[in-house]
Amino acid sequence: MLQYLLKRLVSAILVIFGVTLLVFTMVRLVPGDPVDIMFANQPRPTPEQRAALRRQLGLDLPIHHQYLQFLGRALQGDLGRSFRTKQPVTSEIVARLPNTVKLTVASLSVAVLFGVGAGMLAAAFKGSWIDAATMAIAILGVSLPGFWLGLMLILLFAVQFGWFPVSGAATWRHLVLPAVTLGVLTSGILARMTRSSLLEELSHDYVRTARAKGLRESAVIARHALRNALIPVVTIVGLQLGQLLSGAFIIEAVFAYPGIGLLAVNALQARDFPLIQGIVLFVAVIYVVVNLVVDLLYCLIDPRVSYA
Amino acid sequence: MTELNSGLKRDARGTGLTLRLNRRRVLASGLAAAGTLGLGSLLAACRGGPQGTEETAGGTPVATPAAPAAATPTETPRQAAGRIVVGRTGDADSLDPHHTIASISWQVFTNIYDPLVSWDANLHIEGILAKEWEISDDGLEYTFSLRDGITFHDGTEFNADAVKFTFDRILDPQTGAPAAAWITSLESTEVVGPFTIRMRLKEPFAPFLGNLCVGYFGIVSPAAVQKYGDEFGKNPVGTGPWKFKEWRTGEEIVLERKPDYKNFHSYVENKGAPLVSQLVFRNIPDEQTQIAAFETGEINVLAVPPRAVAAFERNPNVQLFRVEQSIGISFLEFHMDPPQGEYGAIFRPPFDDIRVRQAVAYGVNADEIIATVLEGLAVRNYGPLPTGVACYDPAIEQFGYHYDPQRAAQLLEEAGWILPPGNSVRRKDGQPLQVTLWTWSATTQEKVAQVIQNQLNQIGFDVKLETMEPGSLLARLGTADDTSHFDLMGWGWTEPHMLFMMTQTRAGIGLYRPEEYQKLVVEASRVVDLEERCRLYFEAMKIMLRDAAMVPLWSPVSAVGARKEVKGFKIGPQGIYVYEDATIES
Repeated sequence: MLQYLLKRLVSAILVIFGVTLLVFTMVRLVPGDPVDIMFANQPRPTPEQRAALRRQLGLDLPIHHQYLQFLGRALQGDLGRSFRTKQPVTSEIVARLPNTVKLTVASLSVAVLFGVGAGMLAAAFKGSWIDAATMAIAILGVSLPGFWLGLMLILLFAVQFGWFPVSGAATWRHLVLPAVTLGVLTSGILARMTRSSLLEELSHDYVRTARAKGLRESAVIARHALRNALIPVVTIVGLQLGQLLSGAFIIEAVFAYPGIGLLAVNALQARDFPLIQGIVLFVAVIYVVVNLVVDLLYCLIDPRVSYA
Repeated sequence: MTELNSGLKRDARGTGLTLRLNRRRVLASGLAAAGTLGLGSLLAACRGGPQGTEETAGGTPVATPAAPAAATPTETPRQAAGRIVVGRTGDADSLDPHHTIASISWQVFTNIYDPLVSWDANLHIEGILAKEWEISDDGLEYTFSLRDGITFHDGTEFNADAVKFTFDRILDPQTGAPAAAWITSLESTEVVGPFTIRMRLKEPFAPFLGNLCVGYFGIVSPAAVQKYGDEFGKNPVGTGPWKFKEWRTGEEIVLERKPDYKNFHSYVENKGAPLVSQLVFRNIPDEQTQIAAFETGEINVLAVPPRAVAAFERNPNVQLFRVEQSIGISFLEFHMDPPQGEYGAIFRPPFDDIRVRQAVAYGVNADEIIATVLEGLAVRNYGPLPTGVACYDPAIEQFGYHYDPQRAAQLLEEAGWILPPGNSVRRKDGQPLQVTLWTWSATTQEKVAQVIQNQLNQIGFDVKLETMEPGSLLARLGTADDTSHFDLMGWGWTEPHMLFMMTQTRAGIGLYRPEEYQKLVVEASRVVDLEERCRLYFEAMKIMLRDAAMVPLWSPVSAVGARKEVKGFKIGPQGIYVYEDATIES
């Protein structure tokens, strides 16, 4: 177990290292001198001003040097300062984090509720019209563009019915539409996973035994088959967490929900390189950590799995 | 907006993007406007005024509301109630006017701070915190008498010390105030009496007062600056009609009325405190969401995306304002190389032949583009000075170029560019008349460029279109190894001094510096008398047009929507949003 953990940790670090390299290079490949872009704000920079700024940003150093500097600081939690607000990137991200966490948890709950529920329903009524309808809806859920679904929900539930606000994050009511949008998008894949995994479990001998004992079908599914069927679903849920984070970029922008996604969109608009860099790195770390945690959780859920 | 959005992802209208003013060139506003919005934001900054942000460039004094009701002043001030919620794309970076130049921030803090002087509805300068002022005969000393009895939001008294503190702070290199570049002629500020201040210039600089009208020169509370230090941008304190209450980053900024405010803007009817209790700026990046939020009343004032203007016009619940006078200009400029020594022929071929440049000027049908692509959101402008800037004179039309494809064809023939039989592209010495048109990526901007491409191809050009990110466009303009091109550009400024400024950058029209033109615009910056200045600028524009150094196209017009319950909202000089006469009807 320890060995496995070490192995995973090393690979996680490698992935994150790769991400930093990629982000760092990509940001610098974007055409346009960052100094020019920053001076967008300052009419007529003098050559001295430009040189001073380059020094301050470390842009006068060779690129590998810049990268090492960036890496060294990132390790200490210093991701630099936003070009625009001049605030530390870490504090900008941390300030928005609670909103994104709320949205992620809420949409994950929606996804699990809808996804697992629909999957169970489809499996229980395999081959019937219920199955067909549920799966058709699930496909729709997977394929709908998030911004479109978000706008449709806004038009219906905010503009038409006036039940929920369109934008913002002040109250729990602001959370509903974005969470449902994100949740529905994710639930499609969960529904399909749950269905196929449950169907597979239902074909096993222990299920036949349970049925033979005279258990009601609902008990067979809920108490016996489902527990086993959920194992692969948990993995998917973990992976979807990453999806949710990236989906949040678009959905947060649509609902003007002030989380990390909206921060990223605004940073992109403003070509705020340190902030973009910081957010991508941050999201990558989350992604890697979540995956690791999910894998480890595996052995808790399913005692048969062991990494020894 | 959306339009731009795509490229920059929406920033436009209001937004935020802040990019550059520096190059105001770009983008300047102008663009913005007209749909060109794309960069609008960026530019906006420069403009001092427009509140709308980018888009709004406008300029005029009180634009006419589409709904007449909107303009009616409120007769009986009632108990202040309600909130005005302005929807925009993006969030401010700092509310310290000396630390930012982003229009999206300016849009907010211009309500928190008062300037010494400001434009009135006729683009004349009137005193706000300054009661009156005197300019010495040599144009080097400006003595302001300040109003007394005014306090900052934190209770600090407004006086000459506060003014000195503010201007010293702006000029202090430690502050790094971007706006310092607009008053480089200011040498020192001295306190003459408790309410008298004298500013000394290094050289006569006529745009000085006009530049002071811009929100970046708002007077800050010295006590608050000392108290908050670097955090002042998050805790702004001024003397303006609205005081800062709360900033939920990325979401909204809430201001509340200053109860003892005295309003000295002549275009505001309400001379006291605002009639609405809160003024809120909401960040809603997506255009569709903005419209939805406007529908539900979550926001009640919005810079209307050009594509949505028609729908807003039909909506009886909306008052639509068009900011007809703009501080932006969109134009075509030609690739130039930096002048070497004596100013000479520096346009790159084929534009080194004035007849080819004139052919472009005659060959582009700007009216058609305004009517179709821009959906009417622009005013045809034949000269380089925007419609909402002092000294703008429609008489410049007689020196401008009117669409005339025959004339264009004839000029090309004369220049030796002949149409070979059976061919649609002109040739000279075996070379096709191939030119590249640059612009930045934003939907409207690209559409405009496509129409221009098509129009010029009809008279025998072979126009290749190259669109790129605004950042790369700016970076590429003026680099030595650029391929020959011409580009669709925009500029915005609030003061006619822009005729000098726009010829001082490193590309295109920025390199147009013939002596006779430069003499006029430099002289105009030294003459205090506005009429004389305007005369000089008019002569300068004639020279620029004679040389076909650029092709002025239009000044962008922005549209602003207010829900019908917002009464008395209006557009002030240079497109500024005026909230102080507004009430919310429940």
